[in-house]
Amino acid sequence: MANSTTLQSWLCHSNNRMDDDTVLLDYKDLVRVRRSDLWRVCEHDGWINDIVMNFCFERHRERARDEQFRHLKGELIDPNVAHFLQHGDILDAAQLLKDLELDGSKLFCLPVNDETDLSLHVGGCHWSLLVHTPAVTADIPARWSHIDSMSHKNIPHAEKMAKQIAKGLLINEGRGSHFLSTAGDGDAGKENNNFEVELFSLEDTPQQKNGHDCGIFVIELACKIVDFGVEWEIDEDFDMHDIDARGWRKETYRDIEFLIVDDGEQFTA
Amino acid sequence: MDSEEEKKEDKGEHINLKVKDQDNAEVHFKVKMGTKFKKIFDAFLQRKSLQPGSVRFLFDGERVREDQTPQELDMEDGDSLDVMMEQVGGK
Repeated sequence: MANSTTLQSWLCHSNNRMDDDTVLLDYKDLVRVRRSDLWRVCEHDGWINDIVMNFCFERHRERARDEQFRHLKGELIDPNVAHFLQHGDILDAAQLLKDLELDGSKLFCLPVNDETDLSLHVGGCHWSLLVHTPAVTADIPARWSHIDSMSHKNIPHAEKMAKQIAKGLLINEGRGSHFLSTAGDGDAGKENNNFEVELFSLEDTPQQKNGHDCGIFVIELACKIVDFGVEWEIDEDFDMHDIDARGWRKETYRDIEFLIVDDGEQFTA
Repeated sequence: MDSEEEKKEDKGEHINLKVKDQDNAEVHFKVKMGTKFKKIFDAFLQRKSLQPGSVRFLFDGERVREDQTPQELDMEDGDSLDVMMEQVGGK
């Protein structure tokens, strides 16, 4: 078996790492991690993509399942699904929310990407996190919160996503029939256009000090929030400032390497 | 008579699938229930001049893998796959 340094160079390095689509790990038949994805993790300035995020969420769910007395207190929504909810047809979004068993009583975390040109097949510059928190008590109603590691750059995108999902949830509760009208005039059209969602854009959130770590903040914060539960915003024990992006890269790389070696198939030849 | 029956049988095992881009452009495929999605994905990627691995295919919000078949996913005639872009971000 190769030692760890040569293993890392074998795993991460090839002539054109950004484009190398060799699949290194098929995690639980759910996520396929390619060499280019692993490169995004271990390079100090690699931009995180949806596959890496998807892998980390799946890994987090799996770890919680393995520990007997621990369960996640919220849902991690995969980035493709979040993207679909934001940009897809409102009826499709409502149906998908139903399939995912998401309703207003759930805590859920959604990665927000800033790409709006849907004709692209690779796109985006910035990730942020949108959180739906259900009512804790009668005094603290359900709310949409936005956490952005680069001041409030992604607000318009988060607002659009929150609005679209809020509409979908209302449709599923049987209270959103007016959203189904596409007419631009008439009462239904007006109500449709005027629908607003209040977005709490959190201040005092951890800020990235470089141009490449936003995806890591989203992954770490989302996992923390679903571990903590619905009171995350009002409990002073919840600390979002201890994110170590460098440490995350090292740890996540090691974890993926471990899974690849554990899988074994790559090394039988 | 014989040929008509054959046609019927033939119809039974083929379904029409739509692969829907995010901007709602559709590509139609007529496929067998047992055909691996790899064949469909490759054809789609080729048609759109895309690199393998650059897009994700979803059916009802679930990621579809290339070694699955329409049969395994209980797909029906007229069902559609959604194509999602690879999303990245850093700053």
